Amino acid sequence: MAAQAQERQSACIVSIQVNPEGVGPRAEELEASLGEIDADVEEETEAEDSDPTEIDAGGAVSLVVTVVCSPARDLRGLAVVIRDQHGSAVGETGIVEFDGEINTTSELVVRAPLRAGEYDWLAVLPAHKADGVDYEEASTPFSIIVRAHATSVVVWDVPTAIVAGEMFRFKLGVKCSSDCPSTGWTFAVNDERGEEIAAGAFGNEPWRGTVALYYAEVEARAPTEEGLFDWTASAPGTGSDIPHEQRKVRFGVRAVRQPDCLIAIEAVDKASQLPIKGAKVVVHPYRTFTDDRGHAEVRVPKGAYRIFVSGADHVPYRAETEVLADKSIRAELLFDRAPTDADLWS
Amino acid sequence: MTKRSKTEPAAQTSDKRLTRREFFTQGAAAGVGVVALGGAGVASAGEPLPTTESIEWDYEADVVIAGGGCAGLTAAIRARDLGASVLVVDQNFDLGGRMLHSGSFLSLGGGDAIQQRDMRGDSDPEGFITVPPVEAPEELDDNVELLFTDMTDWSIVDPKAQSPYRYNEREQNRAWAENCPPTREFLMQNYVRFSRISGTHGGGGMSRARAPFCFFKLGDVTDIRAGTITAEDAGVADPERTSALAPVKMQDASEVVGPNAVMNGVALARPLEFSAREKGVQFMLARHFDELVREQPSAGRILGIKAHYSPRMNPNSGERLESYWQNGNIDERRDVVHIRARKAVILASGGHAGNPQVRSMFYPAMREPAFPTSGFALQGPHGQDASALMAGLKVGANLSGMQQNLSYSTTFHIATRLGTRDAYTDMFPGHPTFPFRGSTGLNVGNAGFEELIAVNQVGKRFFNEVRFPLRPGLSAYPGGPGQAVPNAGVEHKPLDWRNCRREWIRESYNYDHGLDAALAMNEGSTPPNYYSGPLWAIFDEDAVERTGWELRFPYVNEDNGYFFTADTIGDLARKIYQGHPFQRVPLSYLEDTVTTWNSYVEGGEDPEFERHLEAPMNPVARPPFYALSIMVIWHDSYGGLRVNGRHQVIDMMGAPIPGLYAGGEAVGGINKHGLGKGHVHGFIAGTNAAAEAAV
Repeated sequence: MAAQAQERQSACIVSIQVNPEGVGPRAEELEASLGEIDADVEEETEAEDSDPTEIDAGGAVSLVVTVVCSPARDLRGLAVVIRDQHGSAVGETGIVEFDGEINTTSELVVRAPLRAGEYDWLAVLPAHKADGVDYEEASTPFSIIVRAHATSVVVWDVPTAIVAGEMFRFKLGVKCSSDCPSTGWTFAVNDERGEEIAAGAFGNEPWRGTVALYYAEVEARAPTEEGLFDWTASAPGTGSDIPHEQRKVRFGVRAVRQPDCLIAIEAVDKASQLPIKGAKVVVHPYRTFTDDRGHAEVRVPKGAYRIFVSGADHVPYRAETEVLADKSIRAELLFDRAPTDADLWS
Repeated sequence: MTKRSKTEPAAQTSDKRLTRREFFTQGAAAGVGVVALGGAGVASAGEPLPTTESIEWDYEADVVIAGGGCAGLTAAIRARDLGASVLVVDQNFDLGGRMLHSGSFLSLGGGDAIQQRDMRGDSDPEGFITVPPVEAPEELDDNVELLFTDMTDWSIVDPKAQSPYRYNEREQNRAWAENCPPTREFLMQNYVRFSRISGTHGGGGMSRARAPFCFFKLGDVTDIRAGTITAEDAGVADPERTSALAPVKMQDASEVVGPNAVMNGVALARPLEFSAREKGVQFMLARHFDELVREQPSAGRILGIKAHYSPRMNPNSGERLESYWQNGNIDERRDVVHIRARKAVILASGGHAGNPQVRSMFYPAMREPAFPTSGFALQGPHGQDASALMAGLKVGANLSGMQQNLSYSTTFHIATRLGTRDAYTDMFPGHPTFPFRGSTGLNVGNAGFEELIAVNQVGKRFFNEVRFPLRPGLSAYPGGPGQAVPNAGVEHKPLDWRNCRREWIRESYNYDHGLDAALAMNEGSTPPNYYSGPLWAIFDEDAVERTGWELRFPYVNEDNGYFFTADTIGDLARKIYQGHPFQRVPLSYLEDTVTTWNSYVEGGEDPEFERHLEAPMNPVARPPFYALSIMVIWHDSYGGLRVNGRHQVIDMMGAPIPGLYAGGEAVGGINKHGLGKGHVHGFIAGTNAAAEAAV
């Protein structure tokens, strides 16, 4: 966001760039890494947002101030002061660059207030005297909107089919938009009627491969009736002074009858007749994978099913079948040879 | 949050030294070298054409060629063989153009020497070929008449219901067919070695097998004359490195040559370059062809060209990229030079696939600059930029076959290589242009698309993912129903109305319009261009575990804007918006799309695109989450300058423009994919240009 100062009969104009910390440098690195790239998207991405910058409560705010005087003047050595809504100085940053017209400060990183709301701050170049000329104080107001931290709730590893009334386990995670450690935050799981059926606290470590997704393993009992039920998960309690938005996420729980038939799958490559290990077997809602011998077993209640055997670089095998008793299926899969460069690029 | 522009071109400042070095003359025959002249051409790009009297020529040669790819190099050697001095300018820092990272599947025919060799069952002179012929003798029994018939067969309709041969220019294709056999001989005389013939390339005809690959034998040394290459140079010694000689890994050629043989465009481009340098052709690289100089704006003879300095700098070190071989290079770094052609100029600077403004005349949605032409990292920002087309139009040239971009079924397509902007080839670190792509990409194949959901720039699904990347078959031998031709192999009947009987076309039509759905306007498309924006493959950690996809450098690169990972889908959307150079709008719908998709998986039905009928659906649920770019590639281009059978450029009144020839993708009128077109064009143009009287 760029805010333009009103000239207060001084000869200098102050403006400021406000961003959440870390936004700017990423873009510059990308330019450098890509080197040559089409330029004609430039016009469409260059438009700047004129709205106040939104910052997470307590988050880092990056401020860079520019000052232009008329006539042009080198102000290096002077400092710009940032004042908050009460007029208190929250930081000061020196002018370090002058390109013959524009003076630019070094980046100042300050913390946003902890309470959500809109704050009107001021960047002030104090009155000074240079080369015998008096310069009045110059300043520019700018606004930042401090928002509660957003949270995301993620549910995974929910079994695709659970025998009605049986216990099952799944994972539930929470992530703060500012990567707040979420250890000890509480969660709740509600069933299709809105009744809380599980609650607890998130663990000490983020889920593997994530930066700040703290998680818990949850045990619950499936509905006693067959069907697909909408459950919800939420993270209502943070125990943090920093405000966090609450988020609720829906997920499906499918309760099924007790299986009474066995489908035995043998997956082979159609051309070589060699077994395909690791092929995905989906007999909705049941899922499994073939073993090293290309074999898989799926237990299902009697009924009509569409069977897919796929993956491992093969075109999906599909069969529609009525399962009334145990049955075996030999799935011959066509290898999906991706076109080579020689196929097309000649 | 402010989204900053990330598309500022890297500074490519010219070297300001104005030293004109003596050009390298090693290997040049006496009396026929390129001449460097006094004076400095100072006209600037964008100015009106200078009057011929005002031009101070900086160099002159008998034949001046714009472009050092398959057409340009062939023309250069041919003209040089016939006694002309030849200067080739190329916008890139190295020679070869697209040919260098091609598959080298070089479809000629008409009874050429390789067809005859394979009919006899002979090997090559060195005995490198140890496998028997792939095709039966009757499949190779070809002649010029049959080839010409194939190239102009009105009855062929492809699986996309397009007619690839019907609109070909007749005189030009007659000349092409007649010159296929001598071009094959010519290439063989210039160190190019051909494998067994195996089928025919798209646009090369339906009646006979006509295409071998070009190969090297792996050996202890790289020796172009001997036909050997080291494993390191071929890019096969290290699974994750290519080389400065071979930008794309050479492929196993055991089925069409024998053990320890490798093939691709390196075995075509490098031998031709080697031969050209050996014979004294001279090169001015990093020199973009800008304009033709004609006696009068639309009349008189073509006198020469204007070209500007176009160096490429390593984006990391800032150093100027240099060609693999140097002999024959003229190190000229002035911003602009004028080069006089005593006999002729040959335009061989490629097509327009790299110029979104030009290609959009065929498909407005492809004005989208997010999608480059294939091999853009190798070719650079000026590759396939329609320079020949634009220069030709300025001097009054006519056009031909412009609609044929739509008549080759894979001209623009969805790449199955994800996570790189340069999604056609698998370049690895080792070639100096790798940094321009930053990642090799991950080729997930068609089957890989069942592991992901594909979303547009606002985060919405737009098509059944498992059909999305599928491509229609090409119209090429051996044909058959898969290529929408009723009879396969030698049973095919050219010029038979039954080939395009309405009932047959209905039966054989086989095109999914996923590409078109991908290019459709969406909530993020804004006037005036209504760009459809980037495309993203979204998947989760389970998909990675299922597939074993290697999400690491060099396959993907978290810093190049084409691969992202995040703890949540919301974070993923924000990272893409912040980090991808062409992501103009937030992926506002992505979280809802994933939530909806997961509900479809739970329910076992995809009511939007009916994916459940064709392949299993997988939830996108288990963190972390991933995004890989999906690229639409505009491969090569069709349509261009109109030429006659001598490859003279024809003006709007139907007359040849004196002193101007063209070939390869710079010309239209031949819906022939790939190298076979360019080499024969170069051979014809080089022959006729050299025969012109010097002025």
